[in-house]
Amino acid sequence: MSNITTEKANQLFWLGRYAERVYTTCMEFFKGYDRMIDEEEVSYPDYCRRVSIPNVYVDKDDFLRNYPFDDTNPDSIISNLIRAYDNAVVLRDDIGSDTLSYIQLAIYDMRKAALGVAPLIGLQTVIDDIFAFWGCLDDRVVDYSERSIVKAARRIERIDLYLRFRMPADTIAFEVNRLQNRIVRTGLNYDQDAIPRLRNMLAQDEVPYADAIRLVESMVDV
Amino acid sequence: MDTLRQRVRSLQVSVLPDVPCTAGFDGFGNPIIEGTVAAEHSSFSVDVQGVAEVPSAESDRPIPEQREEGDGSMVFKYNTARTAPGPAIRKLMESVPEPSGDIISDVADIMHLVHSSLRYEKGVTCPETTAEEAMAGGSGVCQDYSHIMLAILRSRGVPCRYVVGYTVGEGESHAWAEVLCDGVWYGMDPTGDSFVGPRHIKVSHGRDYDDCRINRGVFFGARSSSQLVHALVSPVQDQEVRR
Amino acid sequence: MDDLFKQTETVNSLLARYGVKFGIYKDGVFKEQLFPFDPIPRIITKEEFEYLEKGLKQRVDALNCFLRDVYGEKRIIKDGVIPEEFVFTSSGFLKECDGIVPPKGIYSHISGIDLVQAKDGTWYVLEDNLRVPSGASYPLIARKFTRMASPATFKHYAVEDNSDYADILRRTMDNVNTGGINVILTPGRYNAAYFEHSYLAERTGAILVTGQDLTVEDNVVYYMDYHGGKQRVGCVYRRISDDYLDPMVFVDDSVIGVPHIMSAYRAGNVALINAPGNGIADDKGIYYFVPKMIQYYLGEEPILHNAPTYLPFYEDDRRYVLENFDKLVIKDVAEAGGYGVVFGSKLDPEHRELLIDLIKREPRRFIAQEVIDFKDLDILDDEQRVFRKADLRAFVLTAEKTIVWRSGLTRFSRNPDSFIVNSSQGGGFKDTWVLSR
Repeated sequence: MSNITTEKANQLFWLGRYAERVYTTCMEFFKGYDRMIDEEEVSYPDYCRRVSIPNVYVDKDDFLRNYPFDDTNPDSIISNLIRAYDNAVVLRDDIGSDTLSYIQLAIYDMRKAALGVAPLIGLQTVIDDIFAFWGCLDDRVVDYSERSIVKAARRIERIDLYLRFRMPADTIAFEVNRLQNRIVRTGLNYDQDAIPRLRNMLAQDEVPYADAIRLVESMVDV
Repeated sequence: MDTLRQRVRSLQVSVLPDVPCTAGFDGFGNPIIEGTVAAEHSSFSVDVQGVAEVPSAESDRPIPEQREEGDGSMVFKYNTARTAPGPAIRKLMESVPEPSGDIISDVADIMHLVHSSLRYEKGVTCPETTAEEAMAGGSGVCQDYSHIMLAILRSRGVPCRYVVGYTVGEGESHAWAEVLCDGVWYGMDPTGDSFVGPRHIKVSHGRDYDDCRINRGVFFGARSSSQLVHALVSPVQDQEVRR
Repeated sequence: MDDLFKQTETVNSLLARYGVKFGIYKDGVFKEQLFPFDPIPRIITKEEFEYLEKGLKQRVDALNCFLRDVYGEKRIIKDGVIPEEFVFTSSGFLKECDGIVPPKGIYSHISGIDLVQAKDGTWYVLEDNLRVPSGASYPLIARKFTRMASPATFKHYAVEDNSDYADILRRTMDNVNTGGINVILTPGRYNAAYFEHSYLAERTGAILVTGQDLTVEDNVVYYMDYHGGKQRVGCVYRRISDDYLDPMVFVDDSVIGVPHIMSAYRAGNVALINAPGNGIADDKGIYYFVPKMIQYYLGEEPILHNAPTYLPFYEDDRRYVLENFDKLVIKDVAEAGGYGVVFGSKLDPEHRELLIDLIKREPRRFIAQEVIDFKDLDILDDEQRVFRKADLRAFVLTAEKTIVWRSGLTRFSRNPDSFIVNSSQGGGFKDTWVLSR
């Protein structure tokens, strides 16, 4: 592992997690939004439950506007994006100005999307930015372990969210394989038993989702 | 530190938790010992023991403390934020006798004046108190006596410095002033109204209190802390020392 | 160049995208603001730059001689060129640094010299910034984007490349490095110039660190990694002020500094860029004496002029200042960043009397300068060209020898009535072009 401080390791890790949280929750929001166009009854409380955020919204319209765009709401997508930025901005010398610029760009695009009548069209550019961020990170961040920390964190976040969404076990198991390949290259201290145990949990008929979430949350020491 | 008046021997420093320490000098030439305790700890202590050889008898003349060979005195000629005079000190300065031409006796007069113009009282002033604040309040401790004396001397263009050290007895540290005269620094103690001699152990000097604190440090952590300082100076024996 | 002007918005949006910002505290809340960029460059001809270059090198070399002297033999004081109270009552003189000779004897590695040009074309030095001058990153990155946005403009004008700043800076660090890595020490993300700290780290390959990432053991500075490994640090380009650098020596409740770093520096085990104690040389009172330093140390006539300056400390000057109060700028030497600068003519009678009283009582505290008839620069304001006050910060780097960067930060005031161009007071910036033919 290269010579990065504990603090940097922590920032790289959380950059990966928040960037992924923005992406996966955006995708989930896309699905939910699409469903809510047609439906009469309200399904957003269910969405909140699935993503494990408090339902603080007065009605469907409030949810559709507030959940992605309101930066005073700590659980909104933009709040998570700002957290990604907060971690990225202190890593300029590690990840590079170009990589960082895509996170900054995502914030600007998110603000723009908030103003439009079709927020999904706007949010699509945010997703473009996030993908460009990952591409740039892969291409520009030459330090192998630094890059791996961000990417391992991305997998951890995805597994965590998929577990919360109660996704099918084989979908999650696929992500676990990707994590396994990545985490060994980070140089971070992590619980070596976590991945086999996670696999066991996913192989059970009744997946113990809550236990699996706890396990994933605590497997890396940063 | 060793000076013309004092010699320190058998110095023993122990630090708990035990960490490596580095010896060096600060910007005033005072010896320092420093180190870092990186590990978690619930207490930190420094114990310093030693013997200081000083003259055995009081003198009716100031005793040479250090020779000033270079240009080190320039910086001690000007008042600092702590010693800058205000109305109270300016008023006191009106009662300073006219210069007689003999610097030592002029300075001794100023020492007497400061000694008699301030009431010794603990707890009224604090380490942050300036000379002017102490003078306006009318009472203080050794630090305040010394700062006021420096304020007056510097206003008259006399190079002088603040000294911390210990005096015979038990308690905390002591402070006094040193004055430069014909290339020699002399210690004067306005609190005790005496020349620095057999009862004083000098530790360091600077422009004012801020420059020469005996302990200085920082600690990182969320816990609160308290600090205790204890000094004990007792005469061992009278001994003729050949220099 | 019209092509470039049409791209103003593009360039500004690129600057925004790359986070070219500075932080300010407003009502106690930290905010990041974009630093408004104006596309009309300040153009300096080849001949003019050659003149400035000579003058700036001379000035910075003399200032380095002064620092070596004032923290060493103090000949300039003993020879009566500078009155000793100007040195020893200045908050910039750090007794803690007395007697320390930094690696290779260099004190001011990165000097930011602020100049203005008068209507008649004369350049005047307004102030020397020898502590932690900031701002080079702005024209550096702006140039990158203006070249992208308007290649035709740069095909047409022969503009000296300014992308070498990072190389020069790295050489400056390497030159004094005592063995070990280079780091840039930042107070952290909530510092006004954080963009610059992180960008220069990226561009020079130095590691960006905060105080807590460094530790000092046995007078050696180390950088600590995740596994508790330690790497020796040979050069610290510190972007925190002297006061907060080492809580063991300076402000003792500083949590952004590095305890014991001054001892490591005193022992010669690490280079600090710029040297602590440099504040004595860019003190507003000492400024008056810089032309005298050039004569004293280099035996040369000063090439660049100071703005005509008076020291109320001297009786003749004091008389002049009081008689001509309304046509002078009065500066309190203890203040920085555009604060404590007062135009005599703009004071109401009450404040006028107060200030005159203060000058009489504490003459050492003030300098007075003639108001220079600035050559205003044009800026684009909604596609209209309007004229505004502007200055130029030239960056002079001292490694094996002293080099003037062929660019610079041109700051302008957006307010038509303001003379103050500091970014902390709402100004914008321009690129500075040095023509190569």
